[in-house]
Amino acid sequence: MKKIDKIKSGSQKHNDDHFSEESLRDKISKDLRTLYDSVLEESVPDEFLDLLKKADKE
Amino acid sequence: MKPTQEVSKARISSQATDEYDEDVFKSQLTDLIPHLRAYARSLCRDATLADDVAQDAMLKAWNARAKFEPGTNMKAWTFTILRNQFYSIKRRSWRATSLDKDVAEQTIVANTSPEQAVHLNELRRGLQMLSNDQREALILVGASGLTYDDAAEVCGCATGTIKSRVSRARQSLEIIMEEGKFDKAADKVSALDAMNEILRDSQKLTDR
Repeated sequence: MKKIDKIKSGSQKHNDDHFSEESLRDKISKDLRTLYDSVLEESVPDEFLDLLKKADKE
Repeated sequence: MKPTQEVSKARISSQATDEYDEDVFKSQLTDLIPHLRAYARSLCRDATLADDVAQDAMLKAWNARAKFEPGTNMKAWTFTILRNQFYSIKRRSWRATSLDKDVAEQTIVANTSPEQAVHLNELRRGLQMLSNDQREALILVGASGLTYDDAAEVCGCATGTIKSRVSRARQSLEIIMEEGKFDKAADKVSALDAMNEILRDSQKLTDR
């Protein structure tokens, strides 16, 4: 969670200014995690929990 | 007589553990849902289909809960189920083409600046230029946080294979991003469009 907080609280513009100083490899690694984490941060559709609840009762 | 006593004792305690384990399993599985969705999204870029695959995998994991060995990595275990599910759908389904359909651009990442959104879309396009094996290894290790060993288990290959796939994926991505190969690809597409337009126009001229 700490990592996500840091991304959110840091000024995005500020981060972009520093992009050029990062190595391409670091930039790619960071963007990869951002892409993945963006799905993690989405709220889980109710369907998932409903299905699991139903399956549990069977 | 002693062995029997031991057996019955063991049976009682295992029954109690089963009850307990099931609740623990359920809550751990629930915690993993976001990861199942994220991994599924990386396999099939259509978000709706990805959620279908993630739901199927979640239910399969629940139904197979007795087979899960406590103490092992549950994320890797559910990812293996999801991956098998994905490839079996892909093999036999009429949806195979839609699973591959490129809809990456429609996914907008929240909390990003326009500049970062551009970077992320470039990365998405770059990822799509990698082989399935390389992309998958890179996402498992570089984004989902699995160890090389766990990623190898998920993909059903040796740890060394995953290591070399990840390393080749990184190298390829760096080249793609550096040279902006996707821009050239886009240029080719627009050049083709322009050519078609010229051909259409000349057709009109000869039709006259």
